[in-house]
Amino acid sequence: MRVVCTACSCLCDDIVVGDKIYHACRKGYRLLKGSKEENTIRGERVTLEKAIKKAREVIDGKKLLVFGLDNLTCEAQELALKLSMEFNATIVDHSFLSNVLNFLELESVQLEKFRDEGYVSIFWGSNPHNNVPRLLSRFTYYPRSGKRQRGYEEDRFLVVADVRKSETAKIAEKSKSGIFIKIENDDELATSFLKAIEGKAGKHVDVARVLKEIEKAEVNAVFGGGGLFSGLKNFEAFREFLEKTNLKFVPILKTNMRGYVELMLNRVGSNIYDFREGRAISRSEVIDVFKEVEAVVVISADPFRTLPSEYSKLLAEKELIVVNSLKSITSKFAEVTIATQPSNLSGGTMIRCDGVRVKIPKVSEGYSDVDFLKSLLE
Amino acid sequence: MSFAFKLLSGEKKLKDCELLFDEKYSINRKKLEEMLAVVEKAKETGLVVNEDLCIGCANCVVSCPVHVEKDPYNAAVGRGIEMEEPILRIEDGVVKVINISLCRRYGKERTLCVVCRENCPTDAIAFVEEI
Repeated sequence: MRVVCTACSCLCDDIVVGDKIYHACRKGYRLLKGSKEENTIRGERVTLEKAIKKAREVIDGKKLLVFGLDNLTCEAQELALKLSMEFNATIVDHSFLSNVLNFLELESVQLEKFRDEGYVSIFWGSNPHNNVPRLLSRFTYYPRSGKRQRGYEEDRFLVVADVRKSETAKIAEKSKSGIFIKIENDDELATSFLKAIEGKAGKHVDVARVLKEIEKAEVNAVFGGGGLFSGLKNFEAFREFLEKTNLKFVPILKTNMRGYVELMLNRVGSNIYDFREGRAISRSEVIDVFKEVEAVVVISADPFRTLPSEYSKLLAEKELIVVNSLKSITSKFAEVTIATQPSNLSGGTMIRCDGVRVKIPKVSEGYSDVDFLKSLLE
Repeated sequence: MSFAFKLLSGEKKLKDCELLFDEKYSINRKKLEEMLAVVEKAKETGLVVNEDLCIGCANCVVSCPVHVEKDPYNAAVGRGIEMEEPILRIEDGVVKVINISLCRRYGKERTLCVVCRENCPTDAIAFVEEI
């Protein structure tokens, strides 16, 4: 059986599930074979019906936060938005942690096009070996495809700009077709690029070599990650650099964060929204939301692991309903946990990091996030 | 010296040296056994895979020149390897050695290729002569 892996925003479609799981990275394997969540009330195993009934009681009449959502299909995200409207809740995903929205407006390039034609890939504030483990081998650096038949040996150039020597940086440093630029400040690097374009020297002298490599091909891209989204202050300088060099931009995001953000911007004009007050919430106000809410529905996320402690500490004081396929740290603190199957089995649509809509085939009839959300909305 | 090289390449085992099993060499034998424990894990080419470090990124599978030649429409273009009995394959989230006899380091006419090790981001792949 072939499945699409929904463990990260690569959405690999070549995974084979049989007596073993073939081609999936460790993250993808864990999604299918990790320790499964159970239906519980305060840690005691119960039937699904009892868990749903209790979940309804918990959220009834409470000031509610709906959180997580980045790993859901577009269909489930739509229902989560509907749930938030129905219960006058505030809806928040992980995109509030950084200034990612600006970056989603930048011109992207399809990963398949980059695989066939791309030359320079700049990993800026991102370490794909953590977040999207197969990105280098499937799309950016190693494939021999289209105009890039000699792969990484001659037909690709890898640049890693990061504050630390990450796993990807080690590869760039070892390779004769790669370079690691250690940065302390993202704005300084953007300024160095702009200065080098004008023929002036900036703080980072290596950028001149990168610009020379960029001139060798038409398709080059920056693959930006959390480090860039949080660290960059002068976004206009960054945009100017991309425009002047005709670089495309692919954000490295959580699985379907792009789907969530697109849905929210289309429907309510903001990625964070409080339906009780009927207004968009700014990033700095999210901490107040976490303080004020009484109950939280966490869907397909593990905020105790992924959020800064000032947020997770506040969550620990609330009544939590955790809906997930895998056991998580958050579920240990939950009033109610509800087990669903992962979205790569239940099917739907997701938007890959490059903006391409990917159809996830349904391969199992198990209880899904969509089923749970529908049952709360009944 | 020749015996030492054969020990490292896996052609000979410590038990092939009868003298070493004499009681008076027991301390030295134990030390050698400890030193050679890693060789026991190595394949005929000297390849040692530490699955605990592997993240299943498949850089090794896709960059391997043998895979590129023998599986041009899958492994070479970055997709999951489809050839029968490849050298390496990602199974259950980590790299597994399936058929080492295809490796360029295998046999008498070997090339000292290190492509898989060079492109491993987590140092999960090593060769016994470098350990």
